[in-house]
Amino acid sequence: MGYEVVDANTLFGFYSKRKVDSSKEALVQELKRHGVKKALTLSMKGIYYDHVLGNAETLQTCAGEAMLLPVATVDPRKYYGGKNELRSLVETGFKAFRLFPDLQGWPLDYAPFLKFLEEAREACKPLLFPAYTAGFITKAAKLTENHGFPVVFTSVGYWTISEAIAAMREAAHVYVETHLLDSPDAIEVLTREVGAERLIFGSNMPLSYFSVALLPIVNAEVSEEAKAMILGGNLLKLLEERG
Amino acid sequence: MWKIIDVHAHYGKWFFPIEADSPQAILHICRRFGIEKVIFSSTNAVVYDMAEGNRELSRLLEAYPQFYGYVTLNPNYIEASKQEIQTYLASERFLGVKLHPNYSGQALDSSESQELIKEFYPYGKPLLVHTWGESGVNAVTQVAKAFPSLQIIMAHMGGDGLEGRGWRAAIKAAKNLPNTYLEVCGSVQDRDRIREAVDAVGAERILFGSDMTLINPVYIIGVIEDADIPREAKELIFYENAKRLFNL
Repeated sequence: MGYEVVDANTLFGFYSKRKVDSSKEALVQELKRHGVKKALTLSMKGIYYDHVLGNAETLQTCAGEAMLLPVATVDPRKYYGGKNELRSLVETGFKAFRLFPDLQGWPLDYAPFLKFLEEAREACKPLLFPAYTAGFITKAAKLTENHGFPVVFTSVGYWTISEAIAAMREAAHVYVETHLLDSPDAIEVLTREVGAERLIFGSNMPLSYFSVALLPIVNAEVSEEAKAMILGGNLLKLLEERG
Repeated sequence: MWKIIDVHAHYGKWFFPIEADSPQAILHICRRFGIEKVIFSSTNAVVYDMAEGNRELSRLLEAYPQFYGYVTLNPNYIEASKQEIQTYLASERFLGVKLHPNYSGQALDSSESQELIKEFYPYGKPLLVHTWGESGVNAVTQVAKAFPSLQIIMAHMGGDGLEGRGWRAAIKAAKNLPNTYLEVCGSVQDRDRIREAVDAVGAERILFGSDMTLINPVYIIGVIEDADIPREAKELIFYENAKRLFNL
């Protein structure tokens, strides 16, 4: 294939919503089959059950698999800040944070989330955040303005591209993860409007098909340099800039 | 490159920043991804003005022999829909009917929808219906039983990604309804859904559709390419099943 693929969006663990092999072994096997070099990942235990246990599982799993880079999460329904939790997570090796208001059912105007943002300034790691509905990018981009860390919006699709472009023009810290960019010229339009350096490849493996995320980028009518940036270069740069 | 017939595409504008919507742009997409024939419904007809949209689509089909159409009907306008059936459905270029219950607000098993189905049933052409969630699948089930000779394509194979309720319901329903087909497009593509569909109903009743120009065909090609099914099954899905169903 010729590209160094680094995946910003993978998960592992037990998935209760339907029967699927989402084990760490299945994830690694699929990533290797598709030639992925590295992948950010976290245990779904941290999303659906307990973020402390989930983070511990993520760290342990990634310690045994060099291609996996640990992502920490907190659940603001439980987390209320004030305990240096984020600093501890960074010190133990987490490369980024990821939150799940869509799956956990909490709003942006939510004190524990605002507390998280305050404490995340110091941690200064990339934050992955879903953009699952209209208005979300607009609000989240403003809330994270001048915090010093990049925000990568996952789940941007044809229904939120317009909002993403408008927000990205205003906010240099905003990036878009690609796995749901499924309209025929999404990559071309975003590259033209905001630059390929703002797009970060993700697959949502092992819950989604990998090629669904990969083929639109490999086949996009943008330069080879732009594809290489989207598929891995941009994410590596974001991670390297922040240790 | 696969040989492909796309049974679910749209011609027209979208209320999203999608620029690849002209006939030339669509032809370019088809050439890049091996799509030999495409069956469109009019976006305008689906989301706004049925008659104007069907007219626009008809003009497209006159100019491009590799493109075919579905006549879009709106069950809120019974008499006007019957007129659309008479105007277009006898044509060899219109291969079926499109209904979109979410936009019209008329469920497939509503009395209005069924009145229209009775009207186009004698033409013997398939129905492509937007099928989303368990309620959408239940409506298809009622109609498939009431009209056993009508070939019904469940667009998005029931949809509802992540938790998979819709597509699992569609697979279960299709298993017992031999006059139904599962069409695979959608933004959220749960891994394993294609293999589960093939295991349950057989590859012969699964159709490739992309939702172009809303969705990039290569995105959906990736779904079939990655599916854990034999190559022969993929060839059926990409091409042979549509060729057989629509006599192409």
